[in-house]
Amino acid sequence: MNELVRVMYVEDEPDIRAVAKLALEVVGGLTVELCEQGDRAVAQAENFGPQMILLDVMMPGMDGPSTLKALRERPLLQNIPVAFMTAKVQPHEIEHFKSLGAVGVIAKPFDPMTLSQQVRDLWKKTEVAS
Amino acid sequence: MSFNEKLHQIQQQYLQSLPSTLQQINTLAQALLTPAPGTEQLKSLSHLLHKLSGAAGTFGLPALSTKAAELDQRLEAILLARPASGSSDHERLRLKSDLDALSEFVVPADLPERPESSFNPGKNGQTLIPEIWLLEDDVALGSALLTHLQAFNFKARLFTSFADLLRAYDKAKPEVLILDVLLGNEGRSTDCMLESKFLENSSSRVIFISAKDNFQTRLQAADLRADAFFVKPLDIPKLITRLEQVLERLHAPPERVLIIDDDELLVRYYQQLLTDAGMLVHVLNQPERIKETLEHDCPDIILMDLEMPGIDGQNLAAVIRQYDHWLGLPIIYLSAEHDPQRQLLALNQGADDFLIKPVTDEHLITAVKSKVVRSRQILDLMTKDSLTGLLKHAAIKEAVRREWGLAKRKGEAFCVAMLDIDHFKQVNDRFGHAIGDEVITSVATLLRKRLRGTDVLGRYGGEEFVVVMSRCDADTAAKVLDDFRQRFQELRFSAGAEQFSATISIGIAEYRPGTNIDAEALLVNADKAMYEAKKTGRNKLVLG
Repeated sequence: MNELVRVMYVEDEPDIRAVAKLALEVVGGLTVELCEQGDRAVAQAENFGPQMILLDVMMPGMDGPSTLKALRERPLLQNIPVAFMTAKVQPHEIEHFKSLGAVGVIAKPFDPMTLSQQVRDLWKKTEVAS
Repeated sequence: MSFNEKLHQIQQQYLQSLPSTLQQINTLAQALLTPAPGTEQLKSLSHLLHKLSGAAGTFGLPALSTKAAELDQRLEAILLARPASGSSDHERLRLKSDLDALSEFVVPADLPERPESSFNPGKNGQTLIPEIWLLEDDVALGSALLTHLQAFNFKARLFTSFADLLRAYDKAKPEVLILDVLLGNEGRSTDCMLESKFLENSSSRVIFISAKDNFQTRLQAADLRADAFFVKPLDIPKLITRLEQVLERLHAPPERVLIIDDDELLVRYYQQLLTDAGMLVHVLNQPERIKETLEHDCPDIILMDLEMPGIDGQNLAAVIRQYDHWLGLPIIYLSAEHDPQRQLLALNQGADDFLIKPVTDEHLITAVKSKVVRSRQILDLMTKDSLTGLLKHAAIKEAVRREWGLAKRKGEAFCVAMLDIDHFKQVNDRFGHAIGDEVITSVATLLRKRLRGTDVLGRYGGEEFVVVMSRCDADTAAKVLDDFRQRFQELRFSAGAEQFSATISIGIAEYRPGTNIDAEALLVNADKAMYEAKKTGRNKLVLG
């Protein structure tokens, strides 16, 4: 099984970006690339080569679902697992996000102490599945 | 820097941006006051709430997250229900008031080791908390005043040094400051300079307490925008009455405006303009519904177009004046009529003012505000007792009748209580009528403070009061009023060098649904119970 090392997080709120980076790097020991808007995600992801991508759902301009679609259109990024970060976590909402092709949903607000574990859990699930 | 320190730093950044986010939410939420709020504005509001719910918890504010999520859901329901709204008026306004209170949920959950790092509402100088701060270096006087303020249900804090107060002022701002400061040549001049500088920049109302009573000191207090000036030895009940007046002025309810005009664009413009000026604006599109609209919206003032298709503004005004109840309701005509003769004619038909379109924004706002202030004053003069501000005899009797009708229809219990100050004649004889009036005013002020906002209070006669408590059984009423009775006897009044206290006797009558007792009989029963209390020793409460 592959170890998860490289994660990219697309999020428009600077404070959330900062705390997520800190949580994933320091608590989780991951290498993190931050991206502040959906329409930059494709180029940045191709450049950085993440093993997993976390997408905020509600962003100005290109939102999470559209960003996922754009990522899927690129051969290099087609198979990278993507998880949504959102406050909308009703069962039907989670189902909807999964139907778009996400491996899972991480609920906002997240706890900085456990975020990296949640990301790793999702990662393991995709590894088992493949 | 350690993980915790870094985390703390980001948290601080977030907390600092929070007041402006909450401010934005409040501004957007204004739209909810209008019957048909703009979709764009509501969507931006929803977006902000969504962001807040998703982020606040991460930064140690879980209560804020949960509340924002709940409010967002309710807002989305309103957005979905449109445009077939109308039934959601109530929920719209409820949501608005809940949004206004959102800042109360800024409660740090897991930052116990850093109490100083919590949210700082005073940072942008905007948020005022309804609190009274007291600066008094004479600890005995300070704590006496504090006890009184708390007896009257004020949230009060005592500071014994100016430096302490300044430090606290960095974090939160009270609505009113009561300052015993050294004015004029009384104290060290550096303190004075500091205090004046501080007061020039403060947004709180100020009441001064001074040991000296001379023109110079009073002038200086006036120059520092003081709302009141009290001389030692301090007359505490008088100070509290004044404090009430200061707060009442701060909290005057928004002006309620009804616009009747067929020009939709203009109506929307006026509506936005007046709403932004803090008023509650309703629009009437169907003149034939004027009676229902007036009953439902209870406007303070009507703005009416003089020339509308199908109906003449003058005639509509005349119809309004056919109802006794709305004889005093101010009506302002808006018109393009330039002929002075016809303007005068229109004024003769029951309107109060005439504004010629186009009206400048400032003119319209000022005209509406000043008319509403005047008409409220007149209404108060007609129905309220000038000494206490409580309802007069006829008005409180009317209130009992109204509550009785309401309770009967709804099948609810309510209570009528009669209160009478014990041995009041002796107070007047011994200390004079001015002191007697003070005791009466204190009853009114304490009642207002201790009872619910929905309870109706009246001065029935000289030293006799009537309280109408809706949706309330006798046991509950007794508990509330007995608490009031005990607190009242703890108040200390001063007459010259002498101090005294007063007591009160109370009788309660309960209306139980299904019984045949009428409003008149309730008052009689309450009166009988009160006399029973007098007969059996006074300073007590009797259930009739």
